[in-house]
Parts: sequence; C-alpha cells; structure tokens
Amino acid sequence: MRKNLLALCAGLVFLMTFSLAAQEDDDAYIPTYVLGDQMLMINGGLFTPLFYQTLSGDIHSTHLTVGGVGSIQWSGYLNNDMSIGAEGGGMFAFTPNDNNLFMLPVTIRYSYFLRKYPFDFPLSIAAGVNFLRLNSVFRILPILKPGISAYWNYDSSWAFGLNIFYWWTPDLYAGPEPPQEHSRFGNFIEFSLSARYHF
Amino acid sequence: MQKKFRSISSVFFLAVSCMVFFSCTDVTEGVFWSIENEHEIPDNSLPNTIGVYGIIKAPAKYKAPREPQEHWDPNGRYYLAGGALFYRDCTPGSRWHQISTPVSGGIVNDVTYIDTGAVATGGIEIYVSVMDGNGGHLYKLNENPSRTMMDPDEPDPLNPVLDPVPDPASTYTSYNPAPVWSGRQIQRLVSIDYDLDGLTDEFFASTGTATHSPYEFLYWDKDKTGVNKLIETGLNGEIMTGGTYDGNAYWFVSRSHVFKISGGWPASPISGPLPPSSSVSGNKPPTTDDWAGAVLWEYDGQFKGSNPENLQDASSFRDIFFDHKGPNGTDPLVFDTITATPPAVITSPTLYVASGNGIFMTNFDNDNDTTRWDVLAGGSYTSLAKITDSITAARLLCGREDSGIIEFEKRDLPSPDNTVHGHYPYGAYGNLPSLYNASITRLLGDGTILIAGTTRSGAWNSDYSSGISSPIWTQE
Repeated sequence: MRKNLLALCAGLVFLMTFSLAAQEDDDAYIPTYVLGDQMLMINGGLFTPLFYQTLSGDIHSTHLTVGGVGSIQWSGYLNNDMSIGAEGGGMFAFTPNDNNLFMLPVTIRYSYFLRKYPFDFPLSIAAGVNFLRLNSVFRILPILKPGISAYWNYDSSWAFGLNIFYWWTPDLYAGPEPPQEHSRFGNFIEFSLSARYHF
Repeated sequence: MQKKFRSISSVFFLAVSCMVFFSCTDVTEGVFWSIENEHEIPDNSLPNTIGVYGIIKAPAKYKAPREPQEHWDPNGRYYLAGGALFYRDCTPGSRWHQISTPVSGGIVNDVTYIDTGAVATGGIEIYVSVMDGNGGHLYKLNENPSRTMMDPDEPDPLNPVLDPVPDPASTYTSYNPAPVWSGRQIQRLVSIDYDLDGLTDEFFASTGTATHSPYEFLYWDKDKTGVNKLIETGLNGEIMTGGTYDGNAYWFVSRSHVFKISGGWPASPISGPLPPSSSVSGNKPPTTDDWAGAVLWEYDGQFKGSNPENLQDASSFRDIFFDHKGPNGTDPLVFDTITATPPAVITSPTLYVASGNGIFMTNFDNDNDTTRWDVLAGGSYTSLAKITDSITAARLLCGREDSGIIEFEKRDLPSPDNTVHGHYPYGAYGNLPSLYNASITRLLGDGTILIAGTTRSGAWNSDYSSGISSPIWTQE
C-alpha cells in the first residue's frame, strides 16, 4: 500500500513536471490564427479508384488503374478553428486499354481544425466542379470531397502532413442518349502528401 | 469582410451551377459506364509499333499442300509489309510470323500477289518490294516445302525465303532497250483485279524518288517470252498511290492526278507487251505511247483534263476503290441511296476516290458516264475498303489521316431519308485511341473482316461476323 502510494506520488510529480514543461513550450510556440491569416498548400500523391454506384445502389468495378493526383490550395482563416479557401488540382488514371482519364476539380474547401501542438488535424469538405476528360469526351460534373488531414508544424510558417480525401462525383444522365441507366456515382480516394505555408 | 465573402461565394456557386447545368456533350454513353464496360482488347503477335505499308490476302490455293502433312489454311493468308514481311493464316486466332528482310538495312515497304492460274503452275505468287539506301528491290516469296507447320506458334514454320527478282536491266528486249527500273526505289505496288473475280491478276510498281531518280510507273510483265520483268507504262512523273480496274478501263491515282486508261485492253489477261509499232488492236498492253496523256483529272493549280464535275475540289489522291459487287456477291447494288453533294442514287457499280479533300465517287450508269463526281464526305482520307456480311449489309470503311476510320452504311431499316450515314465504327473503337488517333495507311476488307494498317501503331482487326453493327476489335 505504501509502495503504491509512493508510486502514485512519483507519477503525479512527473506529470506536473511534464505539464509545466509543456506549458512553457506552448507558451513559446503555439501559434494562433485570426481572420485574415492565410495559408497555401501543395499536395501530391496517389489516386485510388474505389467503385461506381448505380442509381439503384448497385456497386461496379471502376476498371481504372491506381493513378496520380496533385493539387494546390489557398485558404484564409475565419478564426483559429476554421478556414475556407479554393482548391484546384487534377488526377489521372488509365483504363484497361490505356486510355487516360483526367479529372480536374475546382472546389471551395471548408476546414475545421483539431489541434494538439505540434500537430493539427483539419477535418474538411470541398465542393465544386469536376472537369472530366476521357479521350475525346469532355464533361463537367459536380464533385464533393470530404477528408481528413494530419499536419506536423515544423515552425510557425511551415507544416507538413498527409491527406485522405474522398472523391464523390456523380455522372448523371436523363436519357434518351446516353440512357439514364448509364448514370454512375464515381467513388475514389486520394492519399496525398502535403506541404503548408502560413502567411 | 463577411459580406464580401458571401458575395464571392454566391458568384462562385452560381457559376458552378451554370456550368453543371449547361455541360451538355455529344456523348452517346456514360463516361464512367463506358470505363466500367471497357475490357482489354486482345492483342495478336504482330508488333504494335510498326508502320504498315501494305496488306493483302492471298487466297488458299497458294497453300495447296505439296506434302500430305503440310499445313495449309483453306481460308488463305494475310501478308503484311511492315519493315519486314509478316504473314498469318486467315483463320481467326492465327498468329503472325515474320520473314526478315533479305537486304541488310532494307525495309519491306509493300506486298502484292498475282494469281497465275492453276495451282500446278504456281497458284499464287507473292511479291514484296524492299527499299534501302542503295535503291529498290523486288522479291518473290518462296516457301520451303520440306518444312511442315506442326505448331502455328513456331516462328517461320515453313522457313520461307525471299528470292530476289533479277534486275530487268539484264533482260531487256529490243523494244524496251533502256533499263527502266535498275536500282530505283519502289514506292508502291498497285494490284489489279483484271477479271473482277476478287483476285489480283497483275500489278504495277510505282518507282522513283524525289531526288535520285525520276518517277516511273512500271508494269509487271509476268510471262513475256518466259522472262518476268517490269516494263514502262508511260505514266511517269509522279508516284502512283492506287489503282483499280472497272471491267473496261484502268484507273490510277497519283497525288495530283486521276488517270483513266480505257480502250483496247484485251478480253483475257495480258499475255505480254507488244512493241509500240505493232498492231495493238484488241490487245493493248501498257506502253509509253498508249498511256501517256490519259489524264482524267489533274490538280496542280491549273485545271486540266476533262474537268469532271466536283472533282475539281480534290487533290492529294491516295486511294481508289471500285465496288462492283453487292453484299451477296452478285448484286451490284450496294448503297441504294447515298448522302452526297449533290445527292446521288447508286444503281450501278461505283468508283470511290480517297483524297486529301474528301471522298469522291462516281457511279456507272447505263452510259458509263464517269464525268460526274459526287462528294461523299469531306476530310483527309488515305484508304478505302468494303466489308460485307453474307446477306444484306455492307459498310464502306474509309481510313483517315491522323483520325482513324469512318464507316459509311446503308441504314437497314426504313428511315425518312434512307440515306447512308458516316460515323465512327461501332464496338470498342471508341476505347482505342491508338487506332482512332492514328493515321491509317491501308485498309483491307475481307468479307466480314477489316484489317487496318497504321503509320506507327501496327495493325488492327475488326470482325463484323457477329453483327454488322457490333464489330469486335482486336489488335493484330
């Protein structure tokens, strides 16, 4: 019992010491952001096709290869917890006969930040238009891109991290040509590395 | 600031909404749906990066077995000139074999054959032209009968070889004293079906280069006094790009001319040339005197010749195709009504010309008046072929420069105009950018099979046997 009490006291002292030290670090480094602060992000990584979904909910293979993705994003802080900005980028992947599918989304992205310095975890959602090109076919589709990111803040200006963004882009038709049965919801996922600069 | 932000957001979403709403396209199938339903195209053994300069189908009697165990395909064989000479049996699924060029550094740039008649006397003879830095060569294919084809995948199973055809300079006769071909590059071999039975009976060689030797169009005199050689025709000065025979007249196209040579040709296959001073009544082989000046149409900045209607808009002729048989092999009616400018009603055999300005056609009505030419389609075309099924349907396939193939069809079902419509081929064609972005060099129509040669993506096969509107595409 006495031994346990001693251990508990030692633990409390350790935690208090660590907490005070952390408090000193936080006082020294934790940046806060206000309306008007901005950031620029550049992202690049892998584009992974998931599935197509029909209007009736059936799931079909995408018949696409794993591809590449890249984007650039500008955002401005609304306050220390939220930001909103614009994002433009693109992806490519190949069909079974090596045809190249390009999608170039232009979106507005809203982010909410969960912070644990030196890390932060933006939860975000983007919506906009998706410029799609397959061979000679060109389409403009809507797109929704929810996602989560994790950043390590190197200093008050630079942060590095990774993103997982889900791409949901409906390709809908009313018929008669293409028939309504050709409507599909495209489901893809993006894994990308990111560099962020605050200014 | 927030007011300004709301304003910007409103404009953005309004723009997005407009773009999405007005993003109408001409697609006929869903984009994701088309990818979902795309399957990898089967690829035969022909290299996929070669340029194809010539394709022929040699009929089966070339392969009459000389030994009981010798393989031969009753469907015939395809031969393809693509740097080397390639061949395969016509039976679907047969693999390609390569015969290396017999000249070091040489390029096999065309292939043809002639039907010499009975199998016992040779049946079908295959000829290829080979060009290298030193000039041109004409070779005849000989197969080694001692080898047997037990495994179709065995390379060169018959061990065929290309034997050089002697330079005619050493075999000229008195009425053709000058060597007309010695060392001259052969640009194109032009096959002629003289008796309209679907077999090549004779061929011509378009020779010469822009800088080293004059262009001359030569005729393969296959049996003159037992000495085979190329002789002059008199159609000189340009590279001939295609030719055909309509039952009465020879037609040839060069880059800027359409030639029609008619009258005096024998009713039976040519037996050999006669001296220009000889009587040519009823038996008139090509000679300089007889063929020169027979220009139907010439385009060189000034209109010449007979100035046929509508053809004055054309130049850069690449191919000429005479369609004299209908889908069932006997009916000459192929396209009842065709959309053209001016509209044309095709009730007789039809001649098509592919040019850099479009496809032009003339039909042979009762008086054989071929001075009226109609425009079938605009664009830059390189080659023509026809495929049919065995019953009713036919397609005219037109190879284009840098943009694949266009297909013309007669609508099988009654429609308000019952016209022929040009469109991209059906099937998986739309998934094959290596084909639909390619420059088509040659098209070969073999019943329900189309083989398309390209400048740098090999050859493609389209099998219409499962349905005239649902071809199955493969890469050769």
